Amino acid sequence: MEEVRTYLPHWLWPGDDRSRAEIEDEIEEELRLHMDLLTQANQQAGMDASEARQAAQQRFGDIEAVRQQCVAIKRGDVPMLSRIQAVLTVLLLVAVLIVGWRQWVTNAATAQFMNQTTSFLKEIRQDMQGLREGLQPPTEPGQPMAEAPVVTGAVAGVVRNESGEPIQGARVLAVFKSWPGGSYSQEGRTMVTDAQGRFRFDDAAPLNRKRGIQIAVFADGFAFQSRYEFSDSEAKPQDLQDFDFQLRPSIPVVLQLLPSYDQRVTTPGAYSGPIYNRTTFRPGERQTADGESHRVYRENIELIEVESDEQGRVTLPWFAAGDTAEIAVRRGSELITSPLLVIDQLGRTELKRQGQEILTPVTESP
Amino acid sequence: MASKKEQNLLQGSLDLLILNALSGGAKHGYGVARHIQAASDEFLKIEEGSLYPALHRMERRGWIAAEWGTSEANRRAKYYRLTRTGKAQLKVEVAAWRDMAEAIGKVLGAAPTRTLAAEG
Repeated sequence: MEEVRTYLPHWLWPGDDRSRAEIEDEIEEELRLHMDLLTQANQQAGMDASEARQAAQQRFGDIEAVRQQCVAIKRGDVPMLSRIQAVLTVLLLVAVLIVGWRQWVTNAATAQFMNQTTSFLKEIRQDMQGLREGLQPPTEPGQPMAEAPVVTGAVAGVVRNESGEPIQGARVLAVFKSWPGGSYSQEGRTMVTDAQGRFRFDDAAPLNRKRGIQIAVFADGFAFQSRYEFSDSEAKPQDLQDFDFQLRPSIPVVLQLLPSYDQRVTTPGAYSGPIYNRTTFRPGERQTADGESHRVYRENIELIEVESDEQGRVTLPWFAAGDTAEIAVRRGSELITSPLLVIDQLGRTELKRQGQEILTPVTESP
Repeated sequence: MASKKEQNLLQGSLDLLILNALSGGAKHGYGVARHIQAASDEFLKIEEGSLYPALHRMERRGWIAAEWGTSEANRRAKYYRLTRTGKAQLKVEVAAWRDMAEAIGKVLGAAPTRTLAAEG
């Protein structure tokens, strides 16, 4: 308490809040003792009683004035009401600053800006990876400049469930990277698996050139998986036909957009009417409990997006128990937020780093 | 009535004397007065009653803390002691006083020399 006092102006510190009479008595007692001790000393010095008292009074001064001064100091120099008012004003200012900062600066602007920037940087990173993989040393002197013609091969695989049975109708999102003539090219293609769970992209990737193959597989009732292969060594046609997947069951994650979502993210004039069902959800990188990492490229991702209903409720079908996954919440082309979804082994869901509270997990009671 | 400046100067030196008196241990008001008197009889030509407003003001500022105890005469007496803040304040005031005394000393020391030079 002593420490606090040091940093506060002393007039702000509350005075003695006992009754005036009590304080007066106390001061009276204190001053009386002084007078009596002075008188006593004078008597010991040889004065008689009345002479000694008179000399003491002279030495002490106007006892009544001193007492009034002391009482005033003790009760506080500034009236209590002014003091309370000063404290309340300061508190109010601080509260307004905090609320204002959180509401307008941190949430609306920063969160949105950070989300956009993060997703933009991720896209740049993907592209940069493609460019980096394309870097090669200049041709050695004395070597022919002409290279052998490009031979392309098919990329194929089979999608099965945990017990090895084929899954028909699984959607396969493929991205093929190549570096024709030293430049970088990226092609997105999609396919649905047949009755045997098979997919096959003909003429998809160069066999005798540097290539990157990204395949992501989505099937109803299963958590999505992906695989990325990069190589610059020559391949035989059958080498690129082992993109086999064994999917594990998913658990549906139900999320609810909160009413505050409307107010916070609607760009004035951009839309009219209910906007919940214009909001789409995309999966981002998915980390499984075993530490595997699966990701989707932005090519053709629209095919697997889901949309919230008119009540702002959405069911995400892509994840499994134990996953940690990023999702992107969009309205049209605008990224609203990209929270991290953490699903425990019992399927309970938690949303992290939302920035603005616009989304909440829903626990379905049976 | 003394001018405002004079009062401030008096009050400032009174605070310093009280803090100094209490630095030797807790005392009641009478004890403080006797301690100061022993050090400077001249100064205590001012009324001893003026010690009390100063004591109460310093208590409010947190420089000193008060506690009821029993005096030598077996009567209830209020004893004041220095707080941590008070000890720091004493150092500040002593330093300020020394600076002031030194400055005044220089002025006083310089004056006769100049007079002599003028005469010579």
